[in-house]
Amino acid sequence: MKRFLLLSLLLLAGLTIFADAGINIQRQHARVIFSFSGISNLQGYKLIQTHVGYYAKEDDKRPYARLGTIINDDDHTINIQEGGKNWDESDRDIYLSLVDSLTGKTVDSFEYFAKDYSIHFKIAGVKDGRMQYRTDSTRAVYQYLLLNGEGDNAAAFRRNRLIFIACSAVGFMLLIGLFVRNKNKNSK
Amino acid sequence: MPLFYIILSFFILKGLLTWPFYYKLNWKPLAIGFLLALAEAPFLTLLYQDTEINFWIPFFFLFVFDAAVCFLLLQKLWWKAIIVSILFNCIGFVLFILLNS
Repeated sequence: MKRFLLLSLLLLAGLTIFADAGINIQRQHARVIFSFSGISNLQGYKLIQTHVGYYAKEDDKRPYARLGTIINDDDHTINIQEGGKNWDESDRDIYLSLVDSLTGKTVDSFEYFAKDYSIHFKIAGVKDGRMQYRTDSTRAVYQYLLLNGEGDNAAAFRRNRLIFIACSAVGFMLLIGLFVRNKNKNSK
Repeated sequence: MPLFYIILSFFILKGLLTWPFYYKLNWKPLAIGFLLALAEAPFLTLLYQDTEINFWIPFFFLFVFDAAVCFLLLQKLWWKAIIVSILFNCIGFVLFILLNS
């Protein structure tokens, strides 16, 4: 009984060490990046990222503040970094507005939820007051250079993965072999 | 994390550091430790890099698997198998996550 209690205590201590350390034992997500191309096709219009929120600035006493960032070149990116355990999901909403440069009125607006996928906007132009665009999305995860990769080294990464699988399979097979050998020896 | 280093670090944990617990069995704990490292280290790396699995699940299964291996292949002492399994899996997982992050 004493031994059982001691072992339970040891197991609990191990688990609490993990929990207290706050180690996230899950593959980490990379930041979500919104990128743009073809901004120059928006002649006479401006694409604006609208920030919506309460009291965006300390000296702003209005109950509801609206601010915007003009997206005026193709290098502009919007980065959303994962904020850990207490990440506020509402912070991931991205509002984009298409504004007429002359009148200053919003003619089109979009809302995207920035989670798990990075989005590249390919803007073709404006037609009938609507922005014409396509989006390409890619998973926002860290690319580990050991197993995952594209392009010229794709064959090397495939070979690496195969070596990992082969090593693991050999290890498990040998252990199973030892189990079987042990069982046969005991049964004789 | 390159394959050689991850297998070596797992072998040090599950082979060399386990050896004092089973020193009467001569080289056998080292061989079992090497096989455990060979089987588990690449498998965990694949899981970590290719999937988004919650690592509490492999942790639990490896804890049970290591305890079963120590109990069935090394010495029929369940308390020693559990102690070794908890101790070196905890260290091993912290090491694994730190090295792969």
